Amino acid sequence: MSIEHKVLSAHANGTLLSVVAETPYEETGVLAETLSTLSNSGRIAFLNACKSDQLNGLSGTSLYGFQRVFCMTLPRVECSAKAAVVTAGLILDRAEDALTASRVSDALREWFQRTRQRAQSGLELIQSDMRMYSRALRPVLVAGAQHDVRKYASAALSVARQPMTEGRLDAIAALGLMDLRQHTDLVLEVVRCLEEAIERPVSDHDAPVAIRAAIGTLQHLGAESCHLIEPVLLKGCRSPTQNALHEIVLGVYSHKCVYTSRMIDASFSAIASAVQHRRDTIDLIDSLLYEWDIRGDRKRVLALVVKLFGHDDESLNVERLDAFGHRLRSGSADLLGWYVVSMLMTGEKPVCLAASQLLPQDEAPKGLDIDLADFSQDGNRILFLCRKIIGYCLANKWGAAALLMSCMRAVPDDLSPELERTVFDYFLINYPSSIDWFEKNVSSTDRARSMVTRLSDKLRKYLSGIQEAGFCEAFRPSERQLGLQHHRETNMWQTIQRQAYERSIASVLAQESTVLYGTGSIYYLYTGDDSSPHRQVSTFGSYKQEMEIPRLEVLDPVGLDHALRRFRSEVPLS
Amino acid sequence: MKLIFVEYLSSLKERGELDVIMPDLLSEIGWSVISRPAIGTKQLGVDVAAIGTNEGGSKTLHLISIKSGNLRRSDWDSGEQSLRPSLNQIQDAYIPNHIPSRYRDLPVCIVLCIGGELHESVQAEVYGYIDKRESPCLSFEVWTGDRISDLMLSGVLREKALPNTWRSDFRKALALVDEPDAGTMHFRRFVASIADGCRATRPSRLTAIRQIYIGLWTLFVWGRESGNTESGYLCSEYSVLVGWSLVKDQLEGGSKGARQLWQSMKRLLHLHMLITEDYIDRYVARRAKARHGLSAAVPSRESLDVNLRLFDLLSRVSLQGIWSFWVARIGGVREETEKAFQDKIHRLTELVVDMVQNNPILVTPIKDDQAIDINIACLFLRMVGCHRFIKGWIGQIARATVYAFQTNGAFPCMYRDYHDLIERPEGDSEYRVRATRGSILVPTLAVWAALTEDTETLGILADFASEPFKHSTLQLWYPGDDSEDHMYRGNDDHGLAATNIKIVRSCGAMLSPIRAECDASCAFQSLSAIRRRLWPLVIAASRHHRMPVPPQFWAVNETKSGTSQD
Repeated sequence: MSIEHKVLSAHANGTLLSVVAETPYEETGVLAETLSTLSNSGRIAFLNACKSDQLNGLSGTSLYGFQRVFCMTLPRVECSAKAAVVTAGLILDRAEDALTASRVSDALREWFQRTRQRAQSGLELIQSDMRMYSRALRPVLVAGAQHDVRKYASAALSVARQPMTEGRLDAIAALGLMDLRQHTDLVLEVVRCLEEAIERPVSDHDAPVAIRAAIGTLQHLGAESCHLIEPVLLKGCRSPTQNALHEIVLGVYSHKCVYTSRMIDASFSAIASAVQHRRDTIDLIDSLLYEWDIRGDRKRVLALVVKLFGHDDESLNVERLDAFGHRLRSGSADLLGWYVVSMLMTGEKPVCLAASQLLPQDEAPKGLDIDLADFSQDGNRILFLCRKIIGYCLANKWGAAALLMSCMRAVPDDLSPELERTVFDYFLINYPSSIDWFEKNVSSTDRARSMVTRLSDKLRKYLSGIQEAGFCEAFRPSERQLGLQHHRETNMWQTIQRQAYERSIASVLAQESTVLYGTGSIYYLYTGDDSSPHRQVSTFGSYKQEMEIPRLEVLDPVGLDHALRRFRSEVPLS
Repeated sequence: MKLIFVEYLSSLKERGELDVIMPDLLSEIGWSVISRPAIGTKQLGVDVAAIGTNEGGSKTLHLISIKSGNLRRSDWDSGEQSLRPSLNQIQDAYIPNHIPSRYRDLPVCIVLCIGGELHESVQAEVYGYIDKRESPCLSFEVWTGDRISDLMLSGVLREKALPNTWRSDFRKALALVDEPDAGTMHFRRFVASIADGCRATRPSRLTAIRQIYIGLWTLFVWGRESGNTESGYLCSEYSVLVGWSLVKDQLEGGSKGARQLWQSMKRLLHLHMLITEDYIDRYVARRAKARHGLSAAVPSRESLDVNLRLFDLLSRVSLQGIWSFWVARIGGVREETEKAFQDKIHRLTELVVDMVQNNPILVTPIKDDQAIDINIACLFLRMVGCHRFIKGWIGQIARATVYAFQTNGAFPCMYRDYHDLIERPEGDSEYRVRATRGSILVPTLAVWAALTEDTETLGILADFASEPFKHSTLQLWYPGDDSEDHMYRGNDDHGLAATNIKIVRSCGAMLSPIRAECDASCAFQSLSAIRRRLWPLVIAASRHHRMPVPPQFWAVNETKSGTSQD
C-alpha cells in the first residue's frame, strides 16, 4: 500500500495521527510531503485532525514521532495564519521537552517565513489579540524580518518597550535573532532597548533574555561592531541572576574571539562573583576554561578558579570542572605546577583542596617541580607553601614530592633546617620510598642537592633503627582480632566494588557474564543468517591500582591528623 | 607428656633455670633439700644437696651436680663448666669438709644431673669414671632429662594431684604458644583447675603453687624455643596472681609450712620477673631506642593494633620497673644487690621515657581503660622522680584527647572489646556521645595534672569536662570490701566507683576530695597484698584484669601512697 493510500485510509478511519506516529523514520520525508499535498488539495484535513481527540491518544515515543512529522509538514500546508498558530499551539502544549518545543516554534516561524503575506497576516493576527496569540509573536517577528527587517524590528521594539505587554520577552528575544547589519540606526535602537530591559527589568527573565539578544545581535553584526553591543553586556554583568549568568557564560564561551577585553573582564568577573551556579552553567564554565588560553591568560584564569573554588558552594569542585582539570593534567607539567602552587599559596581551604585534586594520582609528570622564583623570594612564604603541600597533597605522593622539591630549591639557607625537618617528619617518614624520586631528580648542581643528601642520610638512619629489629611476632594481633579485621576489610571492599560497578559506564554498556574458571572466554557470535556462528576468543586482562598509605596513618594517626589540620588552617602571611 | 618435659628440660639453662627447679622437684617426691643453689659458682661442685632414698630404698645424701643440655665429650673434662672437675671437687672437698655433721653417717650418692642426654661419645668415659670411684659409702647416679621428666610426672605433676583435664589444657597451651590468645586461654584453664581443685591446707597449696611454677617454666621455655614468649608473659602474670590467691590466707605464723609457701610464692614472682625481663630484652628494649621502632614492629596495618600493643607494652615495662623498685626497697625476691636493682630501675626508666618519646601513638589513647596503663607508667615514673616528664606527657595526652574528641577522630572510647574498637564509625556524632558516657581517663589525667601542678592542662580538662564532655560520667574506682575476693583471680567485678568527680582548675581542690576518699576507704588497706607489703601485686592485678589502679597508689602524696609501705 502506498503512503498516500495509507494516509487516506487512516484519515477516513480517524486514525491518521497514530499512523503518522508509527511511520518509520526513513519514510517521514515522503509522508510529510504527502500529508501537505493531500491537505492542500483538500483530500484530507490534516490540521483539523491535529486538533481532534486523536492527539490525546499519543504519548511518549508515538507523540514524539508525530511531532517530528508535524514540524516537517506545517510550513508546506496552505492555511490561515490563525489555523497554523492554533494548531501549532496545541502541539506545543504537548511538547515534553524544550527541544521539541523549539522545533514546533521553528516550524511555525518557517510557515510565516514562506511568504511576505503569511508574515503580514501573522502580524495582524497578533495585533488583533496579543494575549491570545502571543506565542506566535517571536516566530512572526523573526520570519517577517526576513522580508522587511525595519518593519518587523520596529514592531518588536514597540512591543519590547511596553512593560506590561504580553509577549514582551519574545519581542526582545526576536530582536536578537534579526539581521540588522545594514541598519546601524536600528542597532543603536535595539541596544538602547536591551539596556533598558537590563536596567529596568520587569521580571527576572528580562536580563537573561536581553543578554542573549545582545549576543545574538553581535553574532549577526560581527567583531567590528562589538563596541556597539559592549554596553549591554557590561550592564548585564553587574550582579547577574543565575539565568543571566548562564547567558553571560554562553556568550563568552561562544564569542570569545570577538569579545573586547572589557567584555571578557566583565564576564569573568560576573562568573567569579556569583555565589551559586546552575548545574548546566558549571558545565559551561568547565567547557569555557577547557577552551581558554590557560597559559597565556593564566592570571585571569587563576583569578577565576580561585574565586570559583573559594565560594562555599559544595557543588563546585574539581570533579565538576573535570574538563579543565583534564586539560591541566594532560598538558604541560610546569603549567599544572604553576596553577597548583598559585592556588596553594592562597591558603584558602577550598582552593587548596581543589589544587590537591588537580594533581595526577600516578607518577608526577616531569617538570612539575617548577621554579618558585616567580612566586616569592620570601623564605617564610616557601615554608608556608611546604606546609600547604603536605597539608593538602599528602595523599598524592608523587605530586607532593615534586612540589616539595621546588620548595627545597627555593628556600633560603637560614630557613632550610626548618624545611628539612618538615619534609622529613611529615613526608619522608610517611613515604620513605619517595627519597628515591628526590635522589633521581636532583642533579649534581641542583640547589636542593645538599638537602636531599642530608635527608637521605637521616632517612637511612631512621629506617635502619626500625628494620634492624623488624616486625615482632609476639606483637602480632590475635587470630580473633585478625579475623575481625578481615571481616571489616571484606565488607569495605565489597562496598567499594559495588559502588565502582554502579558508577561504571560498563554496567550500562556491557552485558554482564560471571566467569567462574579460566583466564579467557570463548564466545559464539550468531549473525542471524544461516551461516555458522563466529567463534570469538578473548583473554581476560586485569587492572590493578595501588595506593601507598602514609605510614603515620598507622603509627600516629591522631598526631598526623593534628599536623595536617594545623598545616591546612594556617593563614598566609600578610 | 613425657616427651614434652624431656624437650623442656633439655632447653633449660644451667644457671637460674635447671638448678632452680630441681629443689622443688625433689621436695615434691618427699626428699628434704638441705642446700639450694646460690648465685655464682657451685658450692664445691654441688648445686643441690638433698636427703632422699636411693634405688635400694635406704636414706641417702644426694649431692647433685647440674649440667644443662646434653653432655658431650667437650663438656666432660675440658673447660670451666665441665662436669668431671665438679665431681672431683665434690669428692676432694665437699664430702670431707662440707657435709653437715648430722648427715655424715648417711651414704652419699653423687648425682650427675643432665638436662638433656648423655652423649654416646662420652658414655664410656663417664661410666668408667663412676666404676672406678664407686664404693660401699659412695655411689653415683646419672639423671638425664628422661629421668628428671619421670621425677616431674611422678612428683610435682603426678596425675592424681591434678584434675583430669590438665594434660589436655597444658598440651594445648604449649602447642598454641605461637597463638598467644588461645595458648593463654588453655594455660589459664590449667592454672585455674589446679587452684580450684586444691584443698585449703598448706601442703596442698604448696603442691599447687609448685605445679603452677613448673607448668609456667615449661610454657616459658617452650615459647622461648619457638621465638614467641608472649604467652609466657601473659601466663606468668596470671600465675603470680593466682599463686597469691592460693597462699595469701596461709602465711600467718612462722611455721615451716608458711615459710615454704612464702618461698614458693617468691620463686613464682622471681620467675615472673625473669620472664618479663626476658620479654623486655627480647622484644622491647632495642626497638624502643629507635624512632617509631616499637610502633613499626607491630605486624599490622591497623593503627588500632599499634595503639593497643604500645599501651600494653608501656604498662608491662613500667610494672617491671615497679617490681624492681619494690625489690630494691624490700628485697628478698632475688638475691641480687640493691645496686643491681638500682641499675635495672634506671634502665627501665630510660626505656619508658624512650618508648613515649619515640612512639607518639602513646600520646593518643584509643580506649578509656588505657588510663590503667598510663597510671602504671606515671606511678613508676613518679617513684623514680621523673615529675617533669610526667607533666609533659600527661599534658600531651590531655590535649590530644580533647582534640580527638572535638574533631570526632580517634578519641578514647569506653568500649574495650576489639570488635567494638575496630568497627567504630567515622564522624558519627551520636556514637561519639554514646562511646564516652563514662570515663576514668579524663579524671585520671586531671589528677596527674594536679599532682604535677600543671594548671594549664588542668584548665583545659576542666573546660573540656564542663562543656563538650559534660555528658560523660567522670569516675574513679576504689577497692571495696569485695575486692579481696576477686582482685587476684579477676573472677568477678568488685569495688566501688566514685562518680561525682568534678574537674576544677585548682590543683588542691582537684585532689582534696579524692584524697579524702582514699583516707575514708578502709578496703584498700585490708587487701592482703597491701597488708603483706606485696603492693605491686595489686597494680599487676589492675593491669592484668583491666581494673583501674586504686587512687591510693597515685592520687595521694608519694609518702602516703601504697608504694612507700616498705
